[in-house]
Amino acid sequence: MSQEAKRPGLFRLFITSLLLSLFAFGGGSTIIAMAKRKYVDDLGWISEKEIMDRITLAQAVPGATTINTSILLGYYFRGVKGALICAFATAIPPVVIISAVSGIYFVIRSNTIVTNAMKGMRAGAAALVASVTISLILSLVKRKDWLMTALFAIVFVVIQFVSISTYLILLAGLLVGIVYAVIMAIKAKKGGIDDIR
Amino acid sequence: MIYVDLFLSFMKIGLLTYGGGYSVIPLITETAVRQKGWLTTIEMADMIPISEISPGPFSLNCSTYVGMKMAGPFGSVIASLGFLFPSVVISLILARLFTRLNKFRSTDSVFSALNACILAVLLQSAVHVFTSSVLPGAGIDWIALAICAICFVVLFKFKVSPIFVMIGSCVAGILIYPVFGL
Repeated sequence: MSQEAKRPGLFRLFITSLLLSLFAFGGGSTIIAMAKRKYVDDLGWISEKEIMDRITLAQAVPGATTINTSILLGYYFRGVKGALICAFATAIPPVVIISAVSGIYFVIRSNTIVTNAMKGMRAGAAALVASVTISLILSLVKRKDWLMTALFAIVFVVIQFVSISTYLILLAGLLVGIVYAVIMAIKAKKGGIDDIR
Repeated sequence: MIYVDLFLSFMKIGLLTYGGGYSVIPLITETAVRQKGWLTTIEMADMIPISEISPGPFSLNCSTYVGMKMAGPFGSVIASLGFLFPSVVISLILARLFTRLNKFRSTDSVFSALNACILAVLLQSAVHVFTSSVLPGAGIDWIALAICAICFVVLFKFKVSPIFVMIGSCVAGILIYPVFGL
């Protein structure tokens, strides 16, 4: 797959991230799920592995995780220009809507049409996040990478019982990853494969 | 000047917000309510539901809200830009670094472990998003469960755009809840 051929135009990138942000109700995981659906499954601009790397990387940056994800994706698609375009496109809908809503919030709060629309969208968001998470888990299992599948399962079980910050989870993953990488690199060297691609 | 003050304060908040979402609340309380007196405690309490019902990231919505209260639409833009500034700078540095590291095969090994951990976090938030929709208070919201189930099947069977799913579930919510007298 040639990456050049799939490089989206800046305007297309702007419109796509703007729409994703506009319809992402219900928190950070919704927009991440939507981005995976749109960019990987729908448009084929990025592979599943590449997007997952960036979702992970975004967790290490302060601020809103969703904004960080779009910045990293924008950079992947079109360099610094793409990163800035994605940051602004993701930020514009909330800024505009908050400015409008904060004035009329008490009018719309008790409006049944608005609350029903919110309930509907929350249900849709739940389906989106669930479907994307399940498809990511399925592809992890399909790779038959049992060590990483076990790591995933252990972390999931642990965070059900103890509330740990994402940073500590990342730190633990980093330690496991480094040990794993060293073992894999030693194996590869014996097989005569260089670490540099 | 209020704009410079807003920008710098939210730049600091953006830099100190880790893990996104609700971790921004104590930071905004400290700065906007206690130190600067920009918001009253009641205005602060309104910020949370308003930021929740608006699309986009919660922490950014909070920044926009405070900026709006303080200095109108332009203030909301300035506060948001301040909040975004550290994100953009740090993300770009990491993106550059990652491109360099990606030349090594070992980076794939490290990231396979990191990705497995983050997938676990993602699954937990999937469970959270699902329960807050289908089990909002006491008992099951059957309509939400039905909408969720239909969307889920559609997402798995068809290559449908996520934006279409959100619009569809919005319309479904508006149409179905009144039928059952809710």
